[in-house]
Amino acid sequence: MNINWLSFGDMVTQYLLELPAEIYSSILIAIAVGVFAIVIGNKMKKADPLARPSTAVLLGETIVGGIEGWTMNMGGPRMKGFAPYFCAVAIYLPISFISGMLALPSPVGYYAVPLIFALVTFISTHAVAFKYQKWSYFKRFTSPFAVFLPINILTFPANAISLSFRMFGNALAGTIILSMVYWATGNITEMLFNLVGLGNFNFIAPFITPFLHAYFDLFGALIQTLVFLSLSVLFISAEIPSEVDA
Amino acid sequence: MLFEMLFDVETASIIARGLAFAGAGLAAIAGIGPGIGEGYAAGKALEAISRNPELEGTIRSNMILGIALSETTGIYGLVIALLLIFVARA
Repeated sequence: MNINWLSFGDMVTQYLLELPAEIYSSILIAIAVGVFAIVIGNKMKKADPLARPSTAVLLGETIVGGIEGWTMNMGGPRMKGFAPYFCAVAIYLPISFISGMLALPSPVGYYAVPLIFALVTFISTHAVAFKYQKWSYFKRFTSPFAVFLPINILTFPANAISLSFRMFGNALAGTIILSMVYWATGNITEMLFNLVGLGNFNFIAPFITPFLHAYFDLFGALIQTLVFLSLSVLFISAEIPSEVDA
Repeated sequence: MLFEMLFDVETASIIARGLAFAGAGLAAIAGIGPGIGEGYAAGKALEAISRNPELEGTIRSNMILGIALSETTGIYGLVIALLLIFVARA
């Protein structure tokens, strides 16, 4: 009888090897962003507010001040508590889109990552709505008539799904189109250059792919980050009642 | 039963792959919507710029934001097509 006993370490190793590569690149980017944020935070705590700011302090001030100002501009002054979340997304998302150019698999190409971002926005929206409306929050399911209950239940996840799918679709489209271009140029190079003996190195790709990388990875990244942040601010601030009523 | 008599397993899986590619082509029809919508938005943006040329930067940023939002349904169709081509195996 052949029983394949695996030790606990073997099972853990097998599980870790079968995880998709996007998870590891996501962890790497998160650690890099975390170290960057902690270093700048420490320097800002020790900095003298009246002296001329050094580079790190200036960078921190620009990023945090810019995003807080933009958030309060778009959503009203009560959105100040959400600025750290938007700041984290604004730093993490462009880097994870651009990592497709840096030979890392882009973490946004694995559906769980954009889904988690969309779920955080979704849960924040409904938590804020519940906090300000208490139990009248449940009236949204039976408005305007009680027969609309199934339709309102079906509309419930629509915001989260569309937010996550927009990011995921853009990242996936970029990844697949670029891999097809690399594969096609590799085949052409093999046919043309095998006579000379250099068929293994892709000579044609550097003439075509930079433009595609610039569109999908740089331009698309910034636009998708902006769209995700704008929509999150709009969804959350729509639940906060204006100061005239409260 | 008729299907099992006519085709063996290999032919059936080839037919399934072909149908998946046909489905992917049908899913790409979803590109019509964003094409029309974004063209309309760009036209309105150009009209607004011609009326007020000094607001060009603001109008352009807002147009890009609206276009990225309108692109969503086209990307839904693209992802369905990509799933059918690359992920739907026998």
